[in-house]
Amino acid sequence: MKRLEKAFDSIKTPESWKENLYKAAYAEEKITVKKRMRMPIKRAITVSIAAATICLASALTVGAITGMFNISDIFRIGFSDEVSADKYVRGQYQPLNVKCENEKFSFEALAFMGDVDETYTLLVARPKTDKVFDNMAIQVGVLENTFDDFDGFATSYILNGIPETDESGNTVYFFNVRNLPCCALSLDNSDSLVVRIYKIICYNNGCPGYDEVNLKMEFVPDVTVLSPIESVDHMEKVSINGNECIVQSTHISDYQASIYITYEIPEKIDVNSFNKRRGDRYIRDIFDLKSENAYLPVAEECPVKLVVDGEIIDFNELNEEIEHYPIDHIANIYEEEGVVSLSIALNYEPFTFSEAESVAFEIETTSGETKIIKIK
Amino acid sequence: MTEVETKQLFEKAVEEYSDMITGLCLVRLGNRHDAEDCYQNIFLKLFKNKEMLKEEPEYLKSWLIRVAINECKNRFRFLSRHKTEPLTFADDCSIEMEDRTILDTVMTLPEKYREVIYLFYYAGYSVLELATILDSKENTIKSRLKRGREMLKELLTDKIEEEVII
Repeated sequence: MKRLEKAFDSIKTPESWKENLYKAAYAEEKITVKKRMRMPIKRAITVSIAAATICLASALTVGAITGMFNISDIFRIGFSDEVSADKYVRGQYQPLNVKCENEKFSFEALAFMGDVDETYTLLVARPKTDKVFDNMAIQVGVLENTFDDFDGFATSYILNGIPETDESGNTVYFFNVRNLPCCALSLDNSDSLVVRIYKIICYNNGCPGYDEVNLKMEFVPDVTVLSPIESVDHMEKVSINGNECIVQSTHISDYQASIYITYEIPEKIDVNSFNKRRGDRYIRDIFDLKSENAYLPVAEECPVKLVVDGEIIDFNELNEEIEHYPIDHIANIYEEEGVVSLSIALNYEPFTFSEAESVAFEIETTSGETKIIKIK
Repeated sequence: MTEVETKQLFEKAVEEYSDMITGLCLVRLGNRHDAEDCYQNIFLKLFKNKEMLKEEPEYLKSWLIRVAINECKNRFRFLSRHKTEPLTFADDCSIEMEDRTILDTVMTLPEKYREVIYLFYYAGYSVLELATILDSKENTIKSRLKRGREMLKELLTDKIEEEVII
């Protein structure tokens, strides 16, 4: 396997990745400290009734901006995002007309949407040259403008564009920018958001070309377009497969439904030396997962089910990943007053809460009875 | 630790472990751009856990690998709602053609095989060490290595003469 070693050895970190890493880390730490000093972010806030009226008006405006593009299809097919596609069709978004450009590209923020837990900004990029690309990607970050003194850094990620042809026959690229959790909106203030593009990546003949840029689009998000989260604290004790658990809360957003369950580990253990494998064992035990290599997160087989209008809703996790390390994906471990607990989140596929007639979590208890936590 | 010491130790760690982390992120995520973002987040975490900079090199190395694996997993979940471009090393004009072919073939293996093959052949960990780092049983690591090698051999036979590889 000498050739294999040599091949791996040929992977080198691009110098551009290492540049300013210390500076970025230093700035990030200061941002975190500043964030902690602010009011806590409210994740579950009810939304004004005025939203519907504003949404209706906004549908017409963005329709004019985007012209011939079928934006809902771009969400649905291009981004595989059914939820945003439906929101767009319903006109449940804030139209934007914020632009920035350099000599090669112009960018426009078209729409802002989401729910109070997860928000997106739709961008379109228009190349100014006739040069044809195989594809285009951007490195993008979203930052609250409070931190404009840290101009150099925001948590960012790379997004591939979805190419579409405009009315003139030119290719334009759409991007669905998601705010990362660290940039979650504080809905109780009117801070503007800055969508910043750090890098434009164009692929020509298979090779990427990088343009370091600093393009910014700033707007004040209209939080009334964001759907509320159905968030309920339960704090109910329930025994599952002989394990005493507490159903802490349930959250149903447009993009996901979750139930949070905690389990106090009865053994005396040190949280710092906690073995992940042991944590996985607890999860497998609680949720009756047969063996370490036979875990299939099938909703029908789990003792905790989300049932909407009589239908069992699927988990939205990725089977392959959960199969090996469930604790990494659905649980956190923490210690409080000497007691170590697992906080487990089971996440389910989204559904339209407002249209559902009945929504309930059904838990098969140790005694064989079904405990029903009725949400609607 | 003073700011100057932190900066020195941090930059030394970046220099020392960058290539290993880059490779691991590429192998896990199969996407250059997300690998870059993960790479950045891993070193941000190192900065946040400054005390790690004073640890023994081997301990720091395995800590970084664990952070990298978790970071890649979190990234993978986040990306499940986003379209990303699969990595082909053919894009990377700085890598020799033969190496690119091998790396591209490695990238066609399921992720669990890619990971152990990379950590075994590049990072130089033994099966026992990998079992600890990946929190798996030794036998699991052994079988993944064996199966990964077999699949790789099978896939590469068509591309490169077998004796060159094995």
